[in-house]
Amino acid sequence: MNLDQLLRELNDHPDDAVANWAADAHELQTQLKSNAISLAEYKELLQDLLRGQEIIKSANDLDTQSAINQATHGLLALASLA
Amino acid sequence: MKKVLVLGMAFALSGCAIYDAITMAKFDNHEYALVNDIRSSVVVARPRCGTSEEKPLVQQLYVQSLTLKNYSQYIPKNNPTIKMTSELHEIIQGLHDKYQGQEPVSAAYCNLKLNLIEKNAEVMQRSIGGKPR
Repeated sequence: MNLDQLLRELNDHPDDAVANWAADAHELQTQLKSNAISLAEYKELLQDLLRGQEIIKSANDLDTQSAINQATHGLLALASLA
Repeated sequence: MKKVLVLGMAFALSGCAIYDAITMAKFDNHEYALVNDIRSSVVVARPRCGTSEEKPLVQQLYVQSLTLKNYSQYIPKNNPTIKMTSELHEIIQGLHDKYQGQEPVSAAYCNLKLNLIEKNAEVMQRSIGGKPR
């Protein structure tokens, strides 16, 4: 399986984060092949995709923290009613 | 007493992660507004990729992301947000550096970069907007 096929398969991945990453990576490949961007720009943009994954990971952590925080305060409110 | 019991149960479940969540930094209007400014600036800048009007807009974007990074940095219990604002600033720094150089910046690179910045800023805005009040 070549890289294009692999990226196309990942494009249909059930996890949105993976599918979006594959779509972006495939777009970069396309732009590089058509010489719309240089190799140095391509490498920088690939690095940005990795940074984007770190942002998604931290956003998920923050969402989890927010949910736990709200649930805990909900439990405390219930406990004070009882 | 009941509150202590509930909190005690919560800590017993998973210790540090729960404690971090309970003591996390709350929603901050200014932090949220700064992410919104970045996202909005990208929308204004993108149609100007490949023109001479782009450079001052990228400069503005750079200042906004640096402001957000610095603003979030010393808010206690704000680790996920600090990580996100640092990564976003790194992405924007690359674009800024290109516009400071002598080489012309291609419209394709500019568009791809701004698309990535907008996507990431939106992820951040949604998450920061969901912080507890």
